Amino acid sequence: MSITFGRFAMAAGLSAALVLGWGCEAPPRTTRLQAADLEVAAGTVAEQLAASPFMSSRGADAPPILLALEPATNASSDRLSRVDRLGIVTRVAYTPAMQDLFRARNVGMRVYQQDEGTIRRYSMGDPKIMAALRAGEQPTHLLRAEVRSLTRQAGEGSREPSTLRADTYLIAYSIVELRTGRVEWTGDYDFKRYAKGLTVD
Amino acid sequence: MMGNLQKSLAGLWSILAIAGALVASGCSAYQPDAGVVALVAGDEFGRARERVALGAKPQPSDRDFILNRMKLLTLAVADGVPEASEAYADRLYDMLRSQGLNVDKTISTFIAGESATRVYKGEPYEQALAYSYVSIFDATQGEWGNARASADDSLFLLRDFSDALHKSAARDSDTADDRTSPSSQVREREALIRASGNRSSGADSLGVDYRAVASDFEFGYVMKAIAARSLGENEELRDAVNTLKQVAPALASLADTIATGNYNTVLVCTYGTPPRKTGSGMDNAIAIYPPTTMSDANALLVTAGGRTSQWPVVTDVNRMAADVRWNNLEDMRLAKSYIGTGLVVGGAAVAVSSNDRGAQLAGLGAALAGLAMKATAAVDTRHNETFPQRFYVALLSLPEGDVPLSVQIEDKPETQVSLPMVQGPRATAPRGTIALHYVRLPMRQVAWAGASGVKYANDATGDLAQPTLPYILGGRCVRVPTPERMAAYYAAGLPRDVTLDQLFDVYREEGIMIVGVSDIGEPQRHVLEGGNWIYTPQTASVGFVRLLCADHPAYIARSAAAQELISRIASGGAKPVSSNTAAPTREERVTTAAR
Repeated sequence: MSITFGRFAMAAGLSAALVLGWGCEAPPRTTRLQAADLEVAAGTVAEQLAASPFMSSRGADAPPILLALEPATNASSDRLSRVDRLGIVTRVAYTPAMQDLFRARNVGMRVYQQDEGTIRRYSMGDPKIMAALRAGEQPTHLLRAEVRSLTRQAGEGSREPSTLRADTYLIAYSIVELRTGRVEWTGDYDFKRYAKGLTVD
Repeated sequence: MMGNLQKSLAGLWSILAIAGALVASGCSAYQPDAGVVALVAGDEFGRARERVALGAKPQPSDRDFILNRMKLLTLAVADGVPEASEAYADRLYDMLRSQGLNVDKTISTFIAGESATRVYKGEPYEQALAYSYVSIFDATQGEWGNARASADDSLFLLRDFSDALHKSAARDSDTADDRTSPSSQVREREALIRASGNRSSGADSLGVDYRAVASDFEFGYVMKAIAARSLGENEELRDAVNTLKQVAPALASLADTIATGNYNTVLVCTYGTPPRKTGSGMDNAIAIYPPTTMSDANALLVTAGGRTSQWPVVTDVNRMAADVRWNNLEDMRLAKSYIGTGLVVGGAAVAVSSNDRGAQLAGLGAALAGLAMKATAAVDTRHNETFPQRFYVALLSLPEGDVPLSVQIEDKPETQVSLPMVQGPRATAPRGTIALHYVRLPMRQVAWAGASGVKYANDATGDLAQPTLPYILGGRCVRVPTPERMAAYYAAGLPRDVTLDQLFDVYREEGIMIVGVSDIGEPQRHVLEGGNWIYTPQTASVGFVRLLCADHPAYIARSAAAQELISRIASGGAKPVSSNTAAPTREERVTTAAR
């Protein structure tokens, strides 16, 4: 009887430890943008673009347009590498579904000369499709993005150390017609990240 | 009875063993690398970077990972090598933005000592400086969005203990001028511990009342304001400038110029070495920060186009380090805990006064444990000895093209440096574009201080007036070899049957790595200084002047391939009769180098 109870107690203890282990997941330590955030944002915005009047109004015989991809502008509280800023726009444009759609709607795509090396080095898409603007080639449209954020932390005058930080990010995309400066399409995605722990520690 | 005594003795031996282990593990205090400090004083950042990199472990789990990246970033930015700075900035920023890295280390720190358990993240003032270096690096690259983000991160809230300190009268006896003196620092910190009294302190609280107050980090506001202006964020610019005027009224004129002045170039200059973090007080348990470069208010003199302008000290790191608002107070929390244990005195008292043998042994054990803890109570003195002591910011309006600048600190002739190739924004750049350059001034006279022109062909300023061979073949070219470059090499005497691929093979045989060609880690010491890297520093950096505007000894080839090619060049291009061709003598190589 005592052996049975001992085994039962051990099993219960192990179960409790496992449950506690699962339940006590460490809180996030940083509010920085993660690759997964950008992936989800790009996927969502690509769907918005595909369903937009800008794309649906174009047929296969529509006049061709050449879209230049510009690295995103960083107006956020996070530091974004040039690779990330380029990826924010290339991830929207370079998906198999979007490539099919672009071909069907007579939309070409180019990156700027200074970004071609990054595209190749980080395998950010087929170099033939993601080629740089050739000499004399003028884009007609520009795909751009801007990353903004709002940070919340305990403010001045508080008497307790703040251990919680929350950042709400907004990535706003637009396609601009370069000749007129008219905004032809906009899309956006927002999300929140929080982190726990003393900043200085 | 005997059984109890044996148990007590066994327990005592265990305590002694633990105490011995703790003493052994916790007693090694951090020593700043004097060799690196000496190299920094002479602006020898390539050698300094190499020296720091040798001891820097690549694993982020290493407790000194952040400390070493702070040093490497500081030195790479000073050397003007963005290819090295970028990786350090990325990793450092990521770690600095991680909150609570030491959150679970309170108990282990108490037992084994701070330096043996805690991940180094730096004192708050060091974190602010590290963010600033990330910001400076991004600004030199024209990445003002990123520069603004890091500048903003450097302006975190501080804890103000002034009420508690005034109650204990710790500040009343000190003038503002002597607050950086070691004795004043010790007084203020001991007063804080007294102020905490017998109040129970939590895991991360000293137990002293404080208010969260805005940062007084002047350089952070300056960088934030310039970045905001560059981005056209006028409201943010106004806020940053107004706060700068509040925290540093002496910089009001600079603040106004940042907001409304006519400038297109920012020159950030730094000087000196930072205060040395040292243990003081009982058991060296309290951290103080005695200066290694004394503070003064000498202005920065910048001469461009025959005109000299003066710029004030923006931030004095000695002042920041001495201020308890810029310390993490971990040392004081621990000091309070150690004092509070009373293990040594209490244990010894029991051992002496009790008649019971078991109680005597227990008391002795407690006293020994207390002694072990005292041994590990010494403060964690790790700090970044490569940071500067002060920051200057000069705002200039430069014409397009290369402009020679001369920079020095008033009354410190040894800090004089000439920068022959500073470039303002290009005429084709959008209106309002601001270029930022960073110069770390030498602390002693350097041979290249008066450099007036470029002496080696490089990828920033191009070829020299006459075609020249690659440096490793006796010439003065340290450019990345390309098909176009080969024509210049042939004109300089390279045999015409040597192809670009064969030339790359010679570089490989020599173990030389070329930035942009050999993507292997971060570039270290340049081949011109005896290293094995080829890159071109930013033209307005001291790295550019030191490497490319001064003469260096001729290269001594190590590989048979290079030696054979040098022989062929010396003999006018004839192929060697056999593969056993003798390597040229040192004299022959020097003659070749002079071509």
